[in-house]
Amino acid sequence: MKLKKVKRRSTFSEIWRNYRKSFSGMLGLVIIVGILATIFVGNFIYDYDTDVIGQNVAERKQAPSAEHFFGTDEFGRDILTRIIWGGRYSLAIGLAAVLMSSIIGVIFGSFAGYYGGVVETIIMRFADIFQAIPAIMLGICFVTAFGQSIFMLTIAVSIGAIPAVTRVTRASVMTVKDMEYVEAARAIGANNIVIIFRHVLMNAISPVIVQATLRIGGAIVGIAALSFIGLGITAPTPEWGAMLSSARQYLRGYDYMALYPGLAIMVTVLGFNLIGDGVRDSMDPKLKK
Amino acid sequence: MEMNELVLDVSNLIVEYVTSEGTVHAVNDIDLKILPQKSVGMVGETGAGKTSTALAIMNLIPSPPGVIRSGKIKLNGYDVLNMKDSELDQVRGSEVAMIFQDPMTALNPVLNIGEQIEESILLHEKVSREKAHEQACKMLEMVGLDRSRVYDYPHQLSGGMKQRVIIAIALCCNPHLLIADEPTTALDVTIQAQVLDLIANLRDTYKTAMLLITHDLGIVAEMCDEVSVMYAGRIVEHGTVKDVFTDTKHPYTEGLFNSLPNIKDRKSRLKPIVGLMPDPTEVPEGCSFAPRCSYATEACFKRRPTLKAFSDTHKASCLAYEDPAFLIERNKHGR
Repeated sequence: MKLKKVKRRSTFSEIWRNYRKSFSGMLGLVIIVGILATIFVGNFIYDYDTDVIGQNVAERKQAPSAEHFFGTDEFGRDILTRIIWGGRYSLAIGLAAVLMSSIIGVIFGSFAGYYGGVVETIIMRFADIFQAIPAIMLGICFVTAFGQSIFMLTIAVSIGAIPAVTRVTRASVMTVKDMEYVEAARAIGANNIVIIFRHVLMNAISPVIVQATLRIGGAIVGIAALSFIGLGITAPTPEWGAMLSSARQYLRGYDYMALYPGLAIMVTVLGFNLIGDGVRDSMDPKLKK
Repeated sequence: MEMNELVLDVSNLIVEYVTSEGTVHAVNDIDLKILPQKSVGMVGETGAGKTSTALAIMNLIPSPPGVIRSGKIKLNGYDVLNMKDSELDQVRGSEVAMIFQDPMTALNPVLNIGEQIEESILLHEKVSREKAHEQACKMLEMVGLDRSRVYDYPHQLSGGMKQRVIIAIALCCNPHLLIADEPTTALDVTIQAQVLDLIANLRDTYKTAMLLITHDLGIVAEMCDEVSVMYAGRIVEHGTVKDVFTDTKHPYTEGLFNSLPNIKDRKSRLKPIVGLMPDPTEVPEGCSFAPRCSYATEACFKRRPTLKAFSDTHKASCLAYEDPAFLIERNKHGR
């Protein structure tokens, strides 16, 4: 009999092993890594003052050409340069905001779902109240009250998403918490915190992760919206949403000005969604081949 | 530990489930004692309160709606019903462990089986992860699985193998009492025999006392020293296996035996106990078995019998024995 070699595999490497088998997941990863690499390299190629915000009226509103692949905007700035530079704000704030709203929402949601009763009522009614206010309004109020900075912008974008994460987590936790293995965990003496985070949440987290990757796109658009009304990233610093907004008035004659920032948002969101699908599939050990 | 000290001493246990439709009287005043290294079988039909009793012993009755109305449970000296949650967590798993009915759902699908055995060890013993892992591998071998399966996930195992893993989890911290709640109900017959043998062997190796919940009298005869027969939340007959099997006292126990196939009399039809268990929301005034009992007299509907001792080990609760000449059918033929 040939003995199978036993080696310890961490949960992470287990997930990665499965993730590699997912074509769409790998495609998404390639897209996002590509975007991140471009942003990183762009940091060394371009100079902020001359290339990114330096105006050149002689070359304004040029259509895409060999010299300016994506054309130039109304101040003669190269759109490709500005998209590459602007990506750092969209991506960083978008990711940070989703991470923040997910962590807070997951904690509230899992406590509400697991404990039920009074805890659930209090948390969920607060979630209802917050959900009744449009997310953008919450963001505006927040930035107006606490001042304009990248950190505040992150909070402003994430705060509106917390109730949704709380709801999804709670629903998912409720389906899991009555499973027999949760009772079995209690029977071996695991305390509530261990049960919530190790047994319940590990089984309930997939929809939350998929939802989170889907929300990155929304967060990027949220940043753009706040930028548009002057509460986000301020001109002349480039940001995808802000570029889109300012291109709006030239849409009729110079559609490429809106097209490329829009494509940048679309490709990024697509990449994150594909990653989300891949992560979901690889986190379910039953799908393992 | 002294030999006479009880591993489990349950007295006057009453468990109720309070719902909007009424109060379900699941366990009504039960006494149960288990000596070290002894196995007690608990038999009774579905809804008799067997699982509620088991859960109460671990103080795991889901609350709400479950309420432990009264009673005292001493588990190896620990007063289980009056302990803080943090203390209970220490007792569960190390003093008392449970084997669950359905191995398909009692393992966490996202953790590999090694991690699940290690978890129990790490919760109760101060050992490093590596040591716990080694211990988990040893446990796997004890229950007859190859140690190369340690990184397998539950869905990669068959039902019988899963039940072996659950047994490994239950026994890895060497508990004084093992509660097996219908451990073989979800398994097919050939695997049942293997799993029962395994439980019996490990119980003897680890010198563990056991409470075996089942509705299979055959399993009880094979595995246990004593039997408690439960009906409608009460223990109606308790004795050694020999007492209950050869000198059956309670009509309900007789009914259970009659509903089993008899190898000596292959032509006769099975005689099921007619009727259903009384609605647990309304406890009848008299004996709760009276409506289904062929020996029932008028007194049975009015007065509730108490457990009457027939010998040091044998007790049953039936009013018919107030007539000293009373014998149930099974014993008339037996003599």
